[in-house]
Amino acid sequence: MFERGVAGTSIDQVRNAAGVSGSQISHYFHDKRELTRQVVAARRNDVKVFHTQPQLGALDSLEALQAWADACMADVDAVYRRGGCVYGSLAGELIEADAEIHDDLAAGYEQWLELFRAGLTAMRRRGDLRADADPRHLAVSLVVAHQGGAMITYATGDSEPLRAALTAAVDYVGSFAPAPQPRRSRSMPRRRKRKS
Amino acid sequence: MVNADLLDDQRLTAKGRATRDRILKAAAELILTQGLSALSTDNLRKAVSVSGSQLAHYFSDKQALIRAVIIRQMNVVLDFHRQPKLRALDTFDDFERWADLNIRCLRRIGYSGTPTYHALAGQLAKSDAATRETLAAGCWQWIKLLEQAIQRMKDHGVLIADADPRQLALVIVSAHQGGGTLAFTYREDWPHADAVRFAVNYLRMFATDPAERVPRPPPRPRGRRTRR
Repeated sequence: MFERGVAGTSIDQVRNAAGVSGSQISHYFHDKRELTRQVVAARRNDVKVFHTQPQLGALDSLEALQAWADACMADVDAVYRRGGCVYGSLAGELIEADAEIHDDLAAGYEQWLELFRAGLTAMRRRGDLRADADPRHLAVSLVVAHQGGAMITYATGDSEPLRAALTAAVDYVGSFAPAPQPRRSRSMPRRRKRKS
Repeated sequence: MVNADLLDDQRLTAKGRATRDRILKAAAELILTQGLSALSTDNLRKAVSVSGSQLAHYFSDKQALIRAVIIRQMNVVLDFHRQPKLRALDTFDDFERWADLNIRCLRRIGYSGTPTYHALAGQLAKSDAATRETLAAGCWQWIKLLEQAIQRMKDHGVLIADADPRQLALVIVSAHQGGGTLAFTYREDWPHADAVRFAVNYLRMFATDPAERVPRPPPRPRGRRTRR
């Protein structure tokens, strides 16, 4: 489904690719819709695993968010230029699916947003973000930047959209850091220098 | 290739253009609601009441039809950005209006049944390389439109020298598309509202006028459903 899209994938193709019999596959997946729901669940878990990897900590600092952006870009050739975001590509393809599938997809996004929101709330509590920073809004900004950037990068085959979007979203969070800030240039570097 | 499509369009009479447009509208809806595999001559003929030979008159083959659907949908996006209310799209006020009009548009079209650009991309991006290239070309047109608008802002001294119009355009389009994807998934408008707010607030980070640099507050959620 990642390679060919949901619409372009049949149960038969999956059966062949997995090397299982017809009765085996129908034992686990009643029909394509059921298989699709399971794929959504699996991808939702992949997103969770990615975002809870040790190098990203609790996504509760600008460094952690930058590490997240870097980790995404590390996958740009293997993942994003191959099939887009493993989760977002499903969401994009299932726009006209039924309410239950929408609920599945939304629940996955909600889980993802919550991971960011919790980290951003911790930052605000700690005083790393101003009181007027809205953790939910910033979480949504990170995710929509990722999703849109991933989509454009996949459609165009160009890594720049994803990089630009991720850099911007992380910088946007950073713009809510409290006032006394070390002076930094406002340039938009192609290669972002990591704050040590 | 785009020029050939334009010529086709210009060679038609007004009635011909209207028929061509009806075909494209029906084709987009078919692709959206039933997938690319449903885009057959039979289905189109039924939806639009045209004959097979009439279809062939407008579109040399299926690929040409798909390309025309994509181009038409991108023109809808570009026309949105060229509407009089957005003027030259070269001030922060214009971009605030852009954000507002985006949300109104979303509320008007609803969350299903409309072949928006990202909805079409969802159905078409993995079909074949040629189709994906057409989608890409559309993306680049949109990005270029915004890049030019943002360049004008720089020229007028509204943005600092370090502002990179191309990068900013990439961010705005990405935010918009991501917001659309989440909005259509949740079938609620807040993701798109947050997305366009992020896009414009991010643009504001490059304002020369400190007053314009202040981020505007994100939208209050309107009956947002909380999910587990």
